Amino acid sequence: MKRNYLGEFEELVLLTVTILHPGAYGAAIADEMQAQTGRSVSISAVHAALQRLEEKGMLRSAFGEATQERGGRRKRLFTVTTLGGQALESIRDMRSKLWESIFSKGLLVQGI
Amino acid sequence: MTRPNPPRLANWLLSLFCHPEQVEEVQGDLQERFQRRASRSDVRRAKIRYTLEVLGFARFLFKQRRRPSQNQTPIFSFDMLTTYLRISWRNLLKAKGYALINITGLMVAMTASALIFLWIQSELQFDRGYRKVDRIYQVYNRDVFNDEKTVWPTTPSPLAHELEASYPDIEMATRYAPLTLLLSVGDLNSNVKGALADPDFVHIFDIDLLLGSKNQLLADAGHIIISRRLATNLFGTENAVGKTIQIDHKDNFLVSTVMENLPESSQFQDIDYLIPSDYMFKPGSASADWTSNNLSTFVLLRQGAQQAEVNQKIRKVTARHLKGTLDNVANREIFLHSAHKWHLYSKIEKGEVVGGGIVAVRLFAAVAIFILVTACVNFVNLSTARGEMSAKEVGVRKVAGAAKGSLVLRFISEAVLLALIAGLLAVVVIWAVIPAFNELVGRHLQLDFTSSGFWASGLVFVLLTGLLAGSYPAFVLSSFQPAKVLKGPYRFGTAATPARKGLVVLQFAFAIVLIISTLVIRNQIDHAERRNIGFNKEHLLYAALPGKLEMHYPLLRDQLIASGAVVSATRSLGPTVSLNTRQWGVQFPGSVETDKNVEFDLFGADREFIATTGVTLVEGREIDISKYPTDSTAIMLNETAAKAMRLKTDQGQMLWSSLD
Repeated sequence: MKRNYLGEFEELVLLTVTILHPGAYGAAIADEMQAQTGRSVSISAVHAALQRLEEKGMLRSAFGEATQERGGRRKRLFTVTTLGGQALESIRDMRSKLWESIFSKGLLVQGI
Repeated sequence: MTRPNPPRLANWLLSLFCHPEQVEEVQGDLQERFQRRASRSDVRRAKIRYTLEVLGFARFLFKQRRRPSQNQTPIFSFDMLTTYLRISWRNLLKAKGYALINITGLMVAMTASALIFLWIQSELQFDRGYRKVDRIYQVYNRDVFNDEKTVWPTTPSPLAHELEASYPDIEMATRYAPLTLLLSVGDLNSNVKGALADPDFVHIFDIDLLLGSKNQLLADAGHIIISRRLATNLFGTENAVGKTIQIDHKDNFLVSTVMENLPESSQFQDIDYLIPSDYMFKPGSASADWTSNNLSTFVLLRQGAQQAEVNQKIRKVTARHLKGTLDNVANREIFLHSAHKWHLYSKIEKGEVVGGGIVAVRLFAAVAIFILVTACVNFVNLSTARGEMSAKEVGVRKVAGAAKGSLVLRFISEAVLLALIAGLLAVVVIWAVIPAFNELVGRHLQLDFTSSGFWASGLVFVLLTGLLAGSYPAFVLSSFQPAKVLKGPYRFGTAATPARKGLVVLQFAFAIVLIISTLVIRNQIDHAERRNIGFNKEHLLYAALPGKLEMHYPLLRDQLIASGAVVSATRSLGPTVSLNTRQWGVQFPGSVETDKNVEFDLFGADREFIATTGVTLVEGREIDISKYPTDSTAIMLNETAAKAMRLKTDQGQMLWSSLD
């Protein structure tokens, strides 16, 4: 299966968008990622990743509501597309397959 | 409580970094984080964090946003273009007077500039059409006289042979000298222009030989090669091989070969025959030695030979042969002048071959562009002035959702349509006036309707004109505000007025400059025609005396006078306007050494020179050998010569010249 390459950061963003659905927008995603991973996330990196993922067709977006703390500006809400979902799943499948082969060989027990 | 605001500078930076469509969402996110931080900790730190985060967005500078957009109408579509053209056509029919003025203006300008460009094209191609043009050169002479570097294009007769024989870089070489001779076939006599040449001439310039011998060309003294044109003129048939032509009523030449007419756009275009150079430059005679520079030498370089290297090698060829004959040959040298440069780059200035005709070509290119720009400016003024007509259309289209880009296309397509109509009319006009134009410039320009290059360049020309003329109005007209133009009578653009005034001034300036230049040139030509040139050119005729005619001159003269058509006649070295002999080293009473450097033009004439030409005699009498036999050594000076010799009384002084 031909699949777009997905970087690690992009994968995290994509997962976070899924978690926050239907309220996934730039600032919320950055906050959630920071909370989940414990590492500091730059807002511009999140926006860049969102834009790349949208170009790859893994996300789609639409304007949401405006709030007062945003100075009356609208949010752009992101949703994972079918392609994005498939990409996430295939990554997980591949990883589990690898882990299974590690377990079956008892490599972990040997302390690698 | 008033909310703190993020730093304005940072916001401005953000607007630079992000695509306008993106600013809203990004700024919203940043503001949200800013407010949270500002309420939790102090505002100053929140501001710093905000600015840092904005700087992070600098990465967007290099990235074009490519979010797939949903509802955008394409600016260009074939259907819309046809609609635009149809509406433009209707507009044309609706305002016939306007269309007429506009199209006529463009048409006249296009005709004028296209004619100029045709001329420029022919100038650029002139004398460059030879198959081996890259390897063909003319040999030029250079020396220093009186501390003044001089270059001249004629060379000694033996040079061509020496170059070809001794320098392997030079594949072929030929002598060449154009001349006019009297050709006779039976009772038919005609002065015809031809040339003296060597056999290699035919090979260097790839002259097509139609009939007769193709080897042994010009090798035999009595052989002549004539053009197809001359064959038909003299013999009524192209097949003139083996026939005899008498030259100057004394020498018989056998037509060995008939050649194709020499190429029209070359310096050889009116040459109708070639005869061996030795006919005039007899080996051993003074005109054929190394001191006389009286003919052109053309050479063909071997494939791959470099002009600069060959120049180095042949530089001193003539100097070597002249050593001992001339006082000083240190500065005498020869060099090659490429055939590419013959026509447009052969002006000699201060001992160097500089530009020349190319200046006129550039000048006329500028004039052609000026004319075209003036017409475009005219078009711009007419169409913006008519802006009110288009205002409603623009308003309605914009309300219906037209983008500015598609309105620009709408007006440009109208301009291109007008330019196309004007262009087609211009082709017709050019086709009609080109014979007269050819007469004027002395060329055979023509429109080649069958060549795709002609139509392609015509199309490019029309498109360029259309774009040039149409783009400004297109942007002005398409920027009308629908709310303003639809509300009521619209006062057309205060913003566009200064620009339009500027354009009108520009247009008038162009026109005035062109008109004044034309008047100046006309006055100049008038002046040249009417100014006093020292002799009376009305009813003054010149005819060469070919063959034995010169011996019978007194008889000829008497018969001319007796015929009643001729009032007076004199024998001379040539027409009064062509002085072909120049003498330096002249000594006269009171002359000093430096006077030897002064050059005097010599002219020879018989009695009645004054009466025939109307030259005014200041002092003394004219030369008349029949009355005063001692006049065989008499000389008549013009005022300039007398001044140069510092003579008080002009008569009775002895002059002595270093040469015969």
